[in-house]
Amino acid sequence: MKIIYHCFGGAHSSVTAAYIHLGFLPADHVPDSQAFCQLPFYDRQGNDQHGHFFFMGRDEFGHEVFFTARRSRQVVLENIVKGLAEIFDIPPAEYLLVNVMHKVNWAMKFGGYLSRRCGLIRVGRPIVTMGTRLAYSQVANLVRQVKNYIKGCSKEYPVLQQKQFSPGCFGWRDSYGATAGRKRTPQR
Amino acid sequence: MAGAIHTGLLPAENVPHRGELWKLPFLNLKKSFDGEIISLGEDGQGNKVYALSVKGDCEMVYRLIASFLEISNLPSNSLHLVDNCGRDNILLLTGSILCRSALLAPMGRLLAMAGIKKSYRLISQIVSRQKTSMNYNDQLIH
Repeated sequence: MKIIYHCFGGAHSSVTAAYIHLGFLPADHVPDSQAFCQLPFYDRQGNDQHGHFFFMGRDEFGHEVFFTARRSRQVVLENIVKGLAEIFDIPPAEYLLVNVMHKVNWAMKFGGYLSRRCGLIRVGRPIVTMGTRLAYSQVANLVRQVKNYIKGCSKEYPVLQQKQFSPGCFGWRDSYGATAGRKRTPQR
Repeated sequence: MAGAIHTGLLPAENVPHRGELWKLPFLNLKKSFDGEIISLGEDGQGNKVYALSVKGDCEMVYRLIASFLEISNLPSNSLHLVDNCGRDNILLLTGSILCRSALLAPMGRLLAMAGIKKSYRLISQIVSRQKTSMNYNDQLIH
């Protein structure tokens, strides 16, 4: 199976999730800021690389782990992966798309914007790193859910993959229709 | 529409009648198909033809597709992408937006039809050029 973590810019949350998944970052405690800055892909990806699937390695179960940036076009990513898999007769279970964006906080968004979009790395990187540390336990929890799902230990369906999307509505809602911060019932 | 011309669902020489155009099942302007891949059938050479709707920046979508082929160990020439974005005109774009509203749909269809008429020949030429280049490539391979 190919596990693809995706977020807006593919520079912070998805990279962190992929590193936790592969065990390069601890899942039980929050590492210090220095640990993030030493990661080769953390706060590195530019606009011209968005859409590329970066291979990170194989996990303990032998699954390939990737991360990618899809900007605000999550539906496009899911539709394209689904469509291409259909064209080439690849079973849908071969790909697991994991949206990490709903774990991203304002500090990550603001710091990421300054660092990646504006090029103000010296200002943006400490802010985004602080934000990543704040969101770390949630990202680690998502990775744990993904691993449980893969192992088949959990009947929950934490990864929202290839499902029908709501057309969208006004207000702070994610693309699945749930209000940000509110707990969702697991999808089956 | 280019895909429909390619597969022969629409004529290549002249602009189709309104009825002929709207009865095509995939020409549903009420819905946005962003990122969806729609199968249009096969052409004369047995190549499968698809349509992909892309809004805004196409480059990210190209990278997505190329990268997907790469990670799936599929040859890069198994898909041939033909960009038709530049052939959309203001009438067609306005028409397709209006078609999403139930109230303004008739006006939207009129505008879309005018837009299609305007760019039909150009799209047909692109398809013809594409077919010629594909035939040429096939001859080179064989």
